Amino acid sequence: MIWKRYQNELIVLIALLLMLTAYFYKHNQAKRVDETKKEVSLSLGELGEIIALKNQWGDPELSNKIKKIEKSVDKKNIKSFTIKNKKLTASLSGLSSKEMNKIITTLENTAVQIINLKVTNIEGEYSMEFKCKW
Amino acid sequence: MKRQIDLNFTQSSKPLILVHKTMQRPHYDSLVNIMLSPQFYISKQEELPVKYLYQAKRLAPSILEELLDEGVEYRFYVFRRANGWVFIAYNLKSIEEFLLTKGITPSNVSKMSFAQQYGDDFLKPILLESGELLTTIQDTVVLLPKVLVDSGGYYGRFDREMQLRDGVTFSLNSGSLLGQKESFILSFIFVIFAIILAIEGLRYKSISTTMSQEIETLLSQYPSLRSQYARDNIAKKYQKIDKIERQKRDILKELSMLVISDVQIDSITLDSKNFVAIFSSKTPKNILRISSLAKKKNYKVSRMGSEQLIKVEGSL
Repeated sequence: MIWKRYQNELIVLIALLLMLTAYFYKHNQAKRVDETKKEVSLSLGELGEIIALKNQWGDPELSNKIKKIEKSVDKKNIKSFTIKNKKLTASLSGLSSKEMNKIITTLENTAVQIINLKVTNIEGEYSMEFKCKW
Repeated sequence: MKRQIDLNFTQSSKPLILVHKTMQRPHYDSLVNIMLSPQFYISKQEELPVKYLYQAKRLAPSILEELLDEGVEYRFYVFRRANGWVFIAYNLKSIEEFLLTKGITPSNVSKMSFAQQYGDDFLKPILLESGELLTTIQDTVVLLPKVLVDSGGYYGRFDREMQLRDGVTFSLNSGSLLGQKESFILSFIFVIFAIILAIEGLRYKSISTTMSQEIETLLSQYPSLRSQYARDNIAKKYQKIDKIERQKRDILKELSMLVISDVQIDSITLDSKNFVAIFSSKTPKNILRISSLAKKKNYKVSRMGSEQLIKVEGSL
């Protein structure tokens, strides 16, 4: 019964093993926290970017926002202004430079994809044609 | 004088050896129990107003103090007897040394008891090899010369199959490097550290769980982003749109910056691949300035038929 002879050492050894186990458990958990922190930080960054892009370029309110262009222009200057399947085709004429600038600024500040834009100056009056989608 | 109290133990079916100074070498290789004759311990019976064993054990060193030799390390054993307590002191080292001379290694000793515990079994004297008698006189087990006891030639027999009711664990850890006290202190410290570390580990675990839940909460608001594949596709799609559209808007801003005083936009054409802008000015100096500014932006600049027109073009 050798173990009985060294039972004191055995008890101390078991307690030591218990402490070492607890140490490695704590160490692994601390390591996991670091990993999770990095993972969460990356995921949150990635998700945040995707959500921001989606909210910006996939905003369901874009149809209403683009209609502001139509409202800001005198009806006599609108040759056509058609919104169909999230696509806008517009043709405007007889615009002052101020009106033309305002329309371009609205287009710039609205998250629509400008397919094409054509501005022509005819004797001091501007005509505009543009196609957008969102 | 070190004072140490051993633990009790349960019954055992191992052979029992009566240990006395003149005993013969036993022939056991397996585990044995031993019963010590009075030659190996000092006992005293006292009637004390003590109710519990642990209280009596605390008193053992002081009760036996006068009977013990100075400088000898004693251990104590206490048991209840009739109306009082029996206090026993023994020197483990000398017992161990004696056992070794008889070929009994401490590791082969399972349990140890004292003859005093089994006083009733020695009412009929037992004749030892030395000619001495082991017997009980006035509730005390003693060793006496045969001539002092008149037993009429009838002697008892030591029962080797006797079941020990009670006793002490033989200190089989006497060869160990650590004492009981030291091992207790060390174990206690290690266990305390283990508890602290485990609690800390659990705290870390809870932190990482909480952090993971943050992502889960966010994903629950956007279920379409739960799959990494879907996330990659959505990111790819919108990042491409974002890049191209920002470029288009930057170009429009840069073209607007070319409209300095006395300069007019003649036309602008912009699509997904390139752009063309024509500016006009009555001042040749302005035309030169537009040309210089456009070139700084790495746009292609060309004069048109009239000296008043300048064409700026580029690709996305």
